[in-house]
Amino acid sequence: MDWEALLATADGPPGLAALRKAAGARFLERGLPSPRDDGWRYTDTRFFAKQELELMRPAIEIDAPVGVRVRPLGEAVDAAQPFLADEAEQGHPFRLLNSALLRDGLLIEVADGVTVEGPLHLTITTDRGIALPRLLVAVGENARLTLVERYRAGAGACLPVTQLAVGAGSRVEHLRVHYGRDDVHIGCVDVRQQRDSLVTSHILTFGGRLVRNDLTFHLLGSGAEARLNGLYLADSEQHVDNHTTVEHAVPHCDSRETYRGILGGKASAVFNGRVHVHPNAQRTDAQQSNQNLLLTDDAIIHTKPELEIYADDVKCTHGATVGQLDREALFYLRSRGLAHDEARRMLVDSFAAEIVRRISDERLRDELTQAVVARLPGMLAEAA
Amino acid sequence: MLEIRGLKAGVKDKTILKGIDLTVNAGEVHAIMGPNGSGKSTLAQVIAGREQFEVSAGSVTYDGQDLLELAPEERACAGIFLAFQYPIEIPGVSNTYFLRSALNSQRRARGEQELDAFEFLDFIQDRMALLNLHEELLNRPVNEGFSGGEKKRNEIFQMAVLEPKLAVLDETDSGLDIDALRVVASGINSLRRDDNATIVVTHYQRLLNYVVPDFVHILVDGRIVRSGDRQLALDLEEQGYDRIAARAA
Repeated sequence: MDWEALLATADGPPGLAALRKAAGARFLERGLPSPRDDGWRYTDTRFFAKQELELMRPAIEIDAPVGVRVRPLGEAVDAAQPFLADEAEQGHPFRLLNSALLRDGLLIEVADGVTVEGPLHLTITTDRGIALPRLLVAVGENARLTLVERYRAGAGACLPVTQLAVGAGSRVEHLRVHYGRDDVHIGCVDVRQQRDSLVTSHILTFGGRLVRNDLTFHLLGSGAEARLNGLYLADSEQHVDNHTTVEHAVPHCDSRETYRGILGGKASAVFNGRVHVHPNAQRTDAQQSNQNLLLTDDAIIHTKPELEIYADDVKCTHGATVGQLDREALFYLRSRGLAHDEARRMLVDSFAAEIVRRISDERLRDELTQAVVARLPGMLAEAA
Repeated sequence: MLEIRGLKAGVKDKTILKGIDLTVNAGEVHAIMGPNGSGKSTLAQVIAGREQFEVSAGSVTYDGQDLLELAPEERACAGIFLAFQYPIEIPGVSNTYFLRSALNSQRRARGEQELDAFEFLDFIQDRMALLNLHEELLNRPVNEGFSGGEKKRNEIFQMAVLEPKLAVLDETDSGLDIDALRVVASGINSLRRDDNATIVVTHYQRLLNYVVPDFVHILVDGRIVRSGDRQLALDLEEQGYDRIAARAA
């Protein structure tokens, strides 16, 4: 991939030209991550080295309820500035690349005190080339929003960046759902939470040649709470990597992280959960759990908690499990008359349901329950 | 109904059942008693089809068919039920959903109409009352957070719903206080019919005061060393396994 040539074709809102240029220069200087780079040991990005990908515009379908304002980035350059000030200094190479080619973005705003009824749906479809959507979401104080990002990908690469700024006392539920099989999806989600806000994140991955999710939560005001839920399903030779960071920057914040993975075929996955408790962040309560179900002997999971704690009055727990379907439970179900396949499906389904049931909106929950149900037979057949 | 001949079974290098002969006819209740490690639970699980145990010799015929050829779910659909000594917890699957799926799976196998959620609730009402089970328990995940007694009652409730022809109750009395034992026993008794049979596997005589067996078999070291009527269980209670086994030898 000739990045210089690709970056030379960058265009977009003139007001963002300086950012594109600075981020582009930084990206070229840094290059793509190698397995020696921190955080990229198990996720191979050589996909990009082997081919030339054309810059494509993602198709973004918007279904916005009353109370939320959605504008193309080109029409909201000034209002977007607070989100973009530090973007040329970001360390994540694909986030830099997204800034270097910044064009296809939306600014989403919910004013103070507004409760948005019903979810804001964004369906982002890509089928080839390289697409770099950017969502900037500003939720005022004491507001409520449910935001759903659905990615449907054929092939090619989608490198989306979403930035969420959540005002004091607000509640936001954010779903990022990825449906893919042969595509590359490397996405960043950056959340900044003020005092007494609650953000619940659901990252649901149903497959893909290479999927990488980088989440960073900044808890910036006391009483802020972050709930990070994740579910990843992969089979054949798919690879899913979830890297999360929770920055406990101030006292009295809670984070609850629960990620579950189901891996079949020769799939591989990474879970890396970093919790960073800053020196003054007393009374932090951080919990993390990562559980994995391996359906075959060839599936691989690399799971790692990373706790950096610089305050002394904190509660931080973490736990990870890797296992296969419980044989006792399988026999129990079969002894009641359930066929072997049905018993397996019931157990795997219940493992996934533990994450899906955390979605508050009933219709979204049903959609994702169905998505799990639809995905499992293929995975289980491959593992049989 | 069930014919076991010369059955030897075990795990890898260890033979646990060393030649079992047992005949169970419709309408009968058989008690299998024996000390810990005698092979009682292994026998129960081999009948239900637990794949962990390997059968090295002998035969098990059930209703004229070779039972050992059948998968656990095929045995269940043919009318065999095992009440587990340690019922398994299954988080995330509600008790009702699980049991309705199981019942419908069996009904399909028998060529009967499946029950929808409402028909199923109707179907289980009186069976719940029989086992004194609260509705709340039905909506909870299978056995998760159930007390020991609730788990055992839930096993017999499943039996009441699935209406097996041959029920094998593995230490169903263990861990029950006297009140729970009465509830469970009356549940078992009310399910007794001329066309079904029950094998009660137990260490103690206690349950047999309530579920009165037609035959009692003493299992020691993988063999049935004595068979008799109800009196044998009472003798055993009085004299202990050592003396009964010694006399048999």
